[in-house]
Amino acid sequence: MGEVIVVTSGKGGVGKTTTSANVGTGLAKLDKKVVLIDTDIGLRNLDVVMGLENRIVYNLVDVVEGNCRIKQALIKDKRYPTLYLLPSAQTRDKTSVTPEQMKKLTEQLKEEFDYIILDCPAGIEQGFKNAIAGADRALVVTTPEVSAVRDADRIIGLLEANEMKQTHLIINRLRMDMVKRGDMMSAEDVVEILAVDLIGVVPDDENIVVSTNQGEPLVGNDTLAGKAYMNICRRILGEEVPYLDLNGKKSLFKRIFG
Amino acid sequence: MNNSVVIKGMKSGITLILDEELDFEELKAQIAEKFASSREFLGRSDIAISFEGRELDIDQIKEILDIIDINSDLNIIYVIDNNLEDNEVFDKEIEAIVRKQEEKAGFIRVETAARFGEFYKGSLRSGQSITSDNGVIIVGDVNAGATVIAKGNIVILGSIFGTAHAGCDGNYNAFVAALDMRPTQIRIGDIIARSADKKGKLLPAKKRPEIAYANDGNIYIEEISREVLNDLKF
Repeated sequence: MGEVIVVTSGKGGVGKTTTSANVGTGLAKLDKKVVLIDTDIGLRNLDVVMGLENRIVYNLVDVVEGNCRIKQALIKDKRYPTLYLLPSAQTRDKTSVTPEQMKKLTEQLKEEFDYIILDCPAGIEQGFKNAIAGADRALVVTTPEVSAVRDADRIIGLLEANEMKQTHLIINRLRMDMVKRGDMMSAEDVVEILAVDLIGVVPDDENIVVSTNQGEPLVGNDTLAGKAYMNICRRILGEEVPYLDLNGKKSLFKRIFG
Repeated sequence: MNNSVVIKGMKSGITLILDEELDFEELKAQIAEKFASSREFLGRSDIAISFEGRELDIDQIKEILDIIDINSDLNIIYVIDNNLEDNEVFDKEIEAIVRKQEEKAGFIRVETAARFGEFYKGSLRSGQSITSDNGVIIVGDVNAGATVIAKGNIVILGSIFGTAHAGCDGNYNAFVAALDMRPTQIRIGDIIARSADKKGKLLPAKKRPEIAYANDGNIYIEEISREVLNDLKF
């Protein structure tokens, strides 16, 4: 029986889709059978980030409305044989799907996949309710900014009210140089405010922009962000993985010259 | 009330229940009157007919059919022989006739779809779509995430980055033409062609207008030239 994980944040632009793409791809790299579902109906992005936009024939709404079978709508990833994408519909809106329908869909997919990753839309309205309906675990993504943390807090409250079994925090786009200067909240500060278990810290890395534009998730490659995402995947599988030294090259530079 | 002639409706036509005793000439007059008075109600359609209540020979049936022809707008396409009572054969025959007529109608629909077009001014942005029973001419661009679906041809006087589906009810002779052809997907009939996997960068703009058409289950995109245009079958 598979596990359904929803990637959510409340605030937009903090990296839900990037996280979904990288966590999904990372788990597939670790030989798990994974399906990514884009639940952001009307503003679909996950297909673009995964580089699979040109393969879309059927979408989530087609499946829910019975226009096609689930198998017909699943797009097999071009790189990893155990990775699939169920794209969202672009010409519809969030009301095209109900939480009950999402629950039924994830129940069906659980039988065949190890992990079902749901990319949640920003906001706390219908799209959010659809995405969390069938989820066993939530990954809450935030950046170290007060507004994003405030929204994450709201989301965690809603998840608790909906009896989410497990909630984990991902802090995204952390800049160690700013933290050191005292211009940015540290990971510890964020965890202290939100009081949920941390599962990963991803540094701000321009390689993310490159990988997003190329439609090629960077999880598992030699960049700092790639390593951080791979560590998150291992922690999802239950492994104990030490946290990265995000000071990276800069601290070495400083150690010699600073 | 005179019940010597009764018209009864059935699945694919009517049954005429005739008085057994009545003189045939008298019966003919009654049939004429009955159909004439129900002309409006019965309407104008292709139907099958069967007879009940009275033994009729071939000449008598012919006479009755002539009367119906004169006194109604119905078109009798089949006479059911009750002596055979082979309804299966009958049903199959009717089905074949109906199918043939539907095909004919469908053919006409495809024909009109290929010949008529609707004009749209302005660009289609992501999430917007146009669906048409005819052809579509867009004076503007079709951006990525936008869709154009038409039973006929699609012509875009601009760039296409999104998806275009021409001949969507199965017309493989339909085409898609654009001044700048860089689509996500082109579909013709039920054939789907997708763009090559690009690495981030946008393909360079096309310098010349191109046309996408289907041949042997594949979709081809070529610059518009006299040869290509001559091969179009719409």
